[in-house]
Amino acid sequence: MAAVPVQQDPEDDDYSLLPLVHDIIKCMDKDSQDVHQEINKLKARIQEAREQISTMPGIDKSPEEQQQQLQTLREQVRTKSLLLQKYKSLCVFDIPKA
Amino acid sequence: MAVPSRSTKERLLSVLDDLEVLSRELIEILALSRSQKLPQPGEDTQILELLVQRDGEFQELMKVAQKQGKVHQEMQLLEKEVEKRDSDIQQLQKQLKEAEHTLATAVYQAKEKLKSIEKARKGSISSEEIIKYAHRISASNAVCAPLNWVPGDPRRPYPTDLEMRSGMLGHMSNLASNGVNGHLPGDALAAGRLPGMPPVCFGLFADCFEFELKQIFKTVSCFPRRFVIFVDDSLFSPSEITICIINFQPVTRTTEQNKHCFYKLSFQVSSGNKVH
Repeated sequence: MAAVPVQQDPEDDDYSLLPLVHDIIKCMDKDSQDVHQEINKLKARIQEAREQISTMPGIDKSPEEQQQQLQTLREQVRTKSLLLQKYKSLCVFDIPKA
Repeated sequence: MAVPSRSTKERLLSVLDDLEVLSRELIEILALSRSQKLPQPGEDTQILELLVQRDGEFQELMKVAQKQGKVHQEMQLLEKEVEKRDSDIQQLQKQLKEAEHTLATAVYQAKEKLKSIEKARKGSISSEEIIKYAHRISASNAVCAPLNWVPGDPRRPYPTDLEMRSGMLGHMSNLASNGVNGHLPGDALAAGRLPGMPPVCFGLFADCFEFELKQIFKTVSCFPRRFVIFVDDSLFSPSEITICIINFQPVTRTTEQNKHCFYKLSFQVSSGNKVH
């Protein structure tokens, strides 16, 4: 039986639960006593995934909303920078022509 | 009306719940089929397909969540930038307000100066007139008495009544008599000495001495001839003064800086004391 690590590497892109389900089915086919252990592994993995999801930053919004907010922030920074640049480069001795 | 899309977290938890339910059902069905030895054609396959589909969704959503985490970091940096820009703008606004205040004050003062210049320009007096007037008052005995002046001499040993009253001392005397500056004591007026002074300029001098004695000044200067009177106020009290100028005597004093010509005056007072 292949041992599947419970701790998932955050950088690892494979978040699939299918290998664990597969291991359980294999144990059931073999009538192995390890089936309960494999089921517990699956439960632990699901619980761990829940905890990981609750602590992940920036997923309280949908990607579309987040992108919109990001664009708004970029626009704010750009506008404020331009405004500052404009006023800092003003020559106070320039007299506007009538 | 657009329905707000669900957040990634909600979708992840929902898919995870589905995975949990589907995997449990699949295991139960398989366990049941093993124990009862009854084949369950189709059902377990259907559940398995759903499980695979949900697992794929879960993986995709986890990738999206990771990307959103990176975007979140970028947003935090941008928020800090926005805060910094806001702070800079507020600082600049404060400086601009200070500059506006300074400029407004300067403009106001400049306008006031222009008004003064315009006023002075309208009321200008030619220097020729001033010189003529200086010659006129110097030609007579308006500013000092002749050296050989004695009582009874019709030449005026002092400025005329009109000239004295039109001068600055005359104005000061009027102000004091009106009680504006309060230098003239009320008991002096009550004593009736001022109306009794024969020439008005005597009265004016007496006014000056009232000032001097009241303020314990030692010297009265009358320009333009540095006409100086020395008074020792310890010889008489203010209430006894009735002064009559009886003699002038020129005195020259040289200091380190200048040479001054003074006129030493002799006074006669009502008490009979003679002061030099």
